[in-house]
Amino acid sequence: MTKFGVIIFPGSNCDLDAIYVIENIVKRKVLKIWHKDRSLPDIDCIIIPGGFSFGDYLRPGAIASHSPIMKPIKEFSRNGGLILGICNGFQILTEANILPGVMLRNISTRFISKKVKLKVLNNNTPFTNLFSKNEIIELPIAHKDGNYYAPLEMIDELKTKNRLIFSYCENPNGSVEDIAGILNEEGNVLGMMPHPERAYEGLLGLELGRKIFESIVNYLENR
Amino acid sequence: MDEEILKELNFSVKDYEKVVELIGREPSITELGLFSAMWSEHCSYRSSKIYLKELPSSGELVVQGPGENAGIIKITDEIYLAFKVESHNHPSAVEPFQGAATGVGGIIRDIFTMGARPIAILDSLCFGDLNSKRTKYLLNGIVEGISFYGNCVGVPNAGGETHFDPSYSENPLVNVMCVGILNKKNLRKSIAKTSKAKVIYIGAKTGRDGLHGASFASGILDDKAVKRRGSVQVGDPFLEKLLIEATLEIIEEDLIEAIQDMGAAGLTSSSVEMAGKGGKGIKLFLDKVPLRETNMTPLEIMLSESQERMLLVAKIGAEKRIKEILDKWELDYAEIGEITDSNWIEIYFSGEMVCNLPIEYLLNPPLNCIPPQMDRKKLVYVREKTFNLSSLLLEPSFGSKRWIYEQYDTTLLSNTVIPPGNGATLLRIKGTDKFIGLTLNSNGGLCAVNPFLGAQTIVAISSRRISALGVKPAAVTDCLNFGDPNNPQTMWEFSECIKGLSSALKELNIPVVSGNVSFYNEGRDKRINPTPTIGMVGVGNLSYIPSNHFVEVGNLILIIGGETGKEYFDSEILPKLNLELEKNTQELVRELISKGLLKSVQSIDRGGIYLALIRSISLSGIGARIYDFPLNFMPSEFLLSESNSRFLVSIDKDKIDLVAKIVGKEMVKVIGETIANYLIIADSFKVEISEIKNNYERSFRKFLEGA
Repeated sequence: MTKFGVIIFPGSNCDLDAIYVIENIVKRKVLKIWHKDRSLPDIDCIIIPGGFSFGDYLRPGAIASHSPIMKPIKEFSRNGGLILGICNGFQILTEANILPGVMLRNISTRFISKKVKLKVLNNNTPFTNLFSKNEIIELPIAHKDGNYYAPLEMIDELKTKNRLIFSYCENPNGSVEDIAGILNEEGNVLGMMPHPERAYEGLLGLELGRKIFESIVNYLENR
Repeated sequence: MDEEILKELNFSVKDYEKVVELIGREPSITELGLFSAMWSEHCSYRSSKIYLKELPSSGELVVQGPGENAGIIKITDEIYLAFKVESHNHPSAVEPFQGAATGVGGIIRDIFTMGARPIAILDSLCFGDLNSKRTKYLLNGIVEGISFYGNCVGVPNAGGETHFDPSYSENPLVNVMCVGILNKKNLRKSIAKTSKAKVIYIGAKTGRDGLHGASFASGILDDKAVKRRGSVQVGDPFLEKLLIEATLEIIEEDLIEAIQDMGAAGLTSSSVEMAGKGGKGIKLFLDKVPLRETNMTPLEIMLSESQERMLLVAKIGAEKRIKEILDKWELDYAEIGEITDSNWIEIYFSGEMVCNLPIEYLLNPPLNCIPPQMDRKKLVYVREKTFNLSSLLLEPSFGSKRWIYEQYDTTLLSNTVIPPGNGATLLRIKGTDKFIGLTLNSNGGLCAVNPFLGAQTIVAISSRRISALGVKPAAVTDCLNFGDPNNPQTMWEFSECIKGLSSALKELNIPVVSGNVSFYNEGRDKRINPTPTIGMVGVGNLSYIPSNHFVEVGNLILIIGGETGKEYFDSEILPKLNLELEKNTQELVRELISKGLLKSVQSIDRGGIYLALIRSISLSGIGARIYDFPLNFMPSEFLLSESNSRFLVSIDKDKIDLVAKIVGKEMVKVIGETIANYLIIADSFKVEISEIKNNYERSFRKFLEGA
């Protein structure tokens, strides 16, 4: 059975939702991992949740990317462990150079909280295998700095290697190529701005976010 | 005593003489500072106390009524809900971003102080004329401040309201409500019970910011006050987030016996109130208070309103574990004193005693009883009302406030079932089969003309909005915003509003569990409209949740409830209110919802049937055909009627007989049906859905962004 770990930084605030989805929807074990820990417990997948780690001081994710826990996380990544960074988690992964690119302020300069439609560009990943290719899904976004940017050559590489995973149907924040989520070169780390952990049951109006967690479990338990 | 000092402290000569009489000597400067803060209107409710007693405050679900940091009601036997609304008007008038941000921070502290995890924020905002530059400046700053603080601290927004009226041009209103959830065993109060228990200060270091905040809020906004921009505190939502987590961890481990945040009048009110409520005394050593500025005097330390600070009374023996938790969250703390048996507050600084006062004197200022008197000339009548349906659609104040609430995180914590944007919000409570409805409303325009009816109507509308969600109105928190209490006209408005609130709440059986009074809301030559703001919570089990917009073509559209009359909030003929009819209608609608008979439900209130229709259409993309009107009505007169006690619902066609049987024929009027693509109103009006959506959704945004 897949075991998840959710990393908690001071200022993380989407940790409760991630833990709730894992425990109550995909019904797997989940451990809380404190940012000052210097090693990881025995887990199969790391979730870096959203929020405002260290109050977004300096730049979103910048200070968290130097927390002690980042060293074992990098090692975990090198060994092929699955990592999902959501919102501030995505920002932390780019600041830690685990994923390429940077996150600029939204083009409106304002915080944007709303439902957005996304296209699943690549369903051949540990995180998206239960979607169909080009499936349109709806998830909430809630961020001020989600305007993804990388140099042209990097964007080309992301495209040719199928590392663009989600794109916005209607670009809300100015991000280049409508990018909403990308994969690392090895295919085991996904960063995304939208929040799948808030979209897991009909009552909430949105439920396809759960498929990301179910895809992870499917990949790890049936491969 | 030097009169300059009294002025600086906003303390009257009369009060000073009373102090001398009470303590039998001249007070020290620090002592005088404590009196000025504790006797300020903001802390002491000295002008409003006698009226507030009229409000009903008990009920089956009430666990904690007024008098604590927040009110508490039962959701289940084990799970409670804490909530409160508070104003941050003056700070927001002089420094909109920080004023609003720290308003959010302050009310959130009131909630987690009780042992509750904050799960929702609502905000009621009143501005001056929409077209003025100052309104745009204030609106941008205030919304950005709420967005900045609320999003970062991790508490989702669950809606609110926005009003525009010239009476608020100098003195805008920012009323913020916070709701939190707690386990019964974690309920904590601000009552110190054990002498020798240690007093622990945690959070931000103390600076000169927010100095005299309580007395700043207890005077009008004149030029001198506006220059007090330095009085406005600066908020740090990240630090507050750490405080939430650390405090809840400390409470979960049962390590403290009392706790209070350092809000208005900072260290003074928190220490005096905790000791006073427990019938104890307190000793403070100010040299131990963590400071961020040098050479601060004892007076400044006691009155600072630096944000993100809490005062705990530790259980004896738990101090070490408390400090471990604070270390984990990297929070500053200091043991600054202890609880005593004396009933006195003793304060030491640099080895000297700088204050030694009986706490009861501080907690019981002489009441300020200005006899209410009505001056008819000061009642405002009739503003111009637009009856043009097409042009209303382009009106920014009529349009959707999406521009505002899209800057607030509304989906965090994954509880949001019906999101903000439609009068009331529905959240589910995880781990239970309960849902809660939340709404925050005022109507200063109506209260200015008829404060009694206005206050009653706000209660009626709030409960109607809660009932439209299918849950039952359970309790209320109120924020009463008025002008200078030394003006008899203000006190007349205040007493009428209280009578209105009280009568409506009693009739509908809804208690008040917490609240706040904000006087002195006046600019240089303008008093605000009397503005009681009501935050209402509803609770219920829901096996079926109706939509808040149309769901399919071919449904009947009905009005359920009272008569539609030529009555409007902005006119000489105000909507009448029959509380019994209101109560019955709401009960019937909740019954229809519980039977699964309603496809969609909307409360009809401000903007009448028309606004309810426009919202239903714009959120769904489904249109409507409205049949003919009663002969004596123009279409717009009918659609814009703001008569009370009505709901707009849509149902399956074959359910009409059943619905009529349940509620009674005289309570149902079929007015139309849902169709595709258009809104068609009798023979007079036909618009495409896309145009409605475009205009309703964009008019406000367009106006603010000028694009």
